[in-house]
Amino acid sequence: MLRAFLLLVLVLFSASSPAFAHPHLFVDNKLTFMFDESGLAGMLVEWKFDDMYSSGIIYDFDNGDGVFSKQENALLKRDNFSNLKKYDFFLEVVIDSSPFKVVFVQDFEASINNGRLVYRFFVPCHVSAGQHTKTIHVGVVDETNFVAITTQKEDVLLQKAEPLYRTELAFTPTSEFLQILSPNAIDRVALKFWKP
Amino acid sequence: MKKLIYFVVVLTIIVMVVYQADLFAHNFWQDFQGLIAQLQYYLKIKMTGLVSQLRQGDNLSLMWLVGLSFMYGMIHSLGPGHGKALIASFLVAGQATPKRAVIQGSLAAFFHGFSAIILVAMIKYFAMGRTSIVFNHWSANLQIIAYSLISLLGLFCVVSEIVELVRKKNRPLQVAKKVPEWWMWLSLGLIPCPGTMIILLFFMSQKLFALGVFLAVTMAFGMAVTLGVVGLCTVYCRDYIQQIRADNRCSSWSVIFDYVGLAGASFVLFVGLVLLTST
Repeated sequence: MLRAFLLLVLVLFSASSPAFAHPHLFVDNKLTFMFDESGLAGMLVEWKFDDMYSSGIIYDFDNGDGVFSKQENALLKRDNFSNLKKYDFFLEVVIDSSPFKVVFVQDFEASINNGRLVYRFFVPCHVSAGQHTKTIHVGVVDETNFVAITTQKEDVLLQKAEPLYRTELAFTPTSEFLQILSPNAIDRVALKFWKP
Repeated sequence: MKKLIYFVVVLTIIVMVVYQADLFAHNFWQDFQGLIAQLQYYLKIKMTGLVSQLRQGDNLSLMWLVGLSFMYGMIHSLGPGHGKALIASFLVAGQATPKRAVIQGSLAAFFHGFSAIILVAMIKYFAMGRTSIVFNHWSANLQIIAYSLISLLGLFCVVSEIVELVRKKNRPLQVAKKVPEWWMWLSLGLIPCPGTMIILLFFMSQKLFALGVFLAVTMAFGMAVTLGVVGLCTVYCRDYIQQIRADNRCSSWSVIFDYVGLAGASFVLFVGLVLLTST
């Protein structure tokens, strides 16, 4: 019986972890909030994969010319990107306290930059601006922990916000453990915007 | 009636302690995993750089690569997964000696790494298609088999617990039937390690597949060290608690342990089924 009791404790311990997996690939994330004449239009997301994974995937999908053709791009999208839909493309978005589920993305493009695999895609997410402040919280996290995604403060950008809107960016710092190695890494970003 | 009240109060205390411990473990674990992930990232960057140096003729890089692969394997298997809970469960359920526990943990790591090496080699030499895609496809199917085996293991544990409870009532000195070791190795080894696949694919891209296989084996040795230590700790923990019970210092807890034991076995079955249905 004691053996089974220990078994329960061990299972509980493993269940207490944030996920059952562990990171196998690493991504540097860049997030750009895009504005238009009515407010926030969406987010441009750019993922730069680690060198080792990049080399393997480039070897697997590229014909050797160092550039992904239209056909290779389509194959990458089908075989190595579209399945992320079931994980909401690793995006956790909350608009004025209401969760926003990322169901689809646009303009997916894969490229090679200095030997690293880069994915770029746009997440449509219309939030009209008014006199009252609107707030959007965004986190880019793989809850299954298979992919370790890092976002640095300087990699959160705004485009076409000025002069139409006033904006404020606030960052939730990542854990103290992580800050030892990446002092500028963030957990979540909160964007506030309004019409002046 | 008095016994029932006593039972409910103690059970409530246990639930509260476990809940608090779980919250603490969750926060600590999340931070700890972040650190482990970052360390792995830096090791991967270093290994990629060393391969470039090796290609330029710096043979000393090979020595560093071997050392870093071993370290990468050790750190990589510290994260959640790799069957640590399963190995520990088997060792708790069985009667393995410390030496046997180290061997069992290490073998489980080897099976996990070697199945990936065999699968990648098959994909390469039989030209089965794009390595990453075919590997993931096979891995998904093998996971279904592996999780089915874990569910069966859970069922086996539940039945064993019930049998043990009944036997204890009639003959207190009966020992539950041992869980077969091969079951654990088969379950864990069937799931090929994706980390090993990424390393092998990288070395394929560098036209250094043989070196990749050698380093993947080195990485499996590193994983074996971590899982061997997990096995050893589990057996020491099991023996310590069994000693406390043998000393009769907490005999009044026996009733609760009996039912928590059944709950634990049911939980293994539940986890197996959840993993199976979510695959």
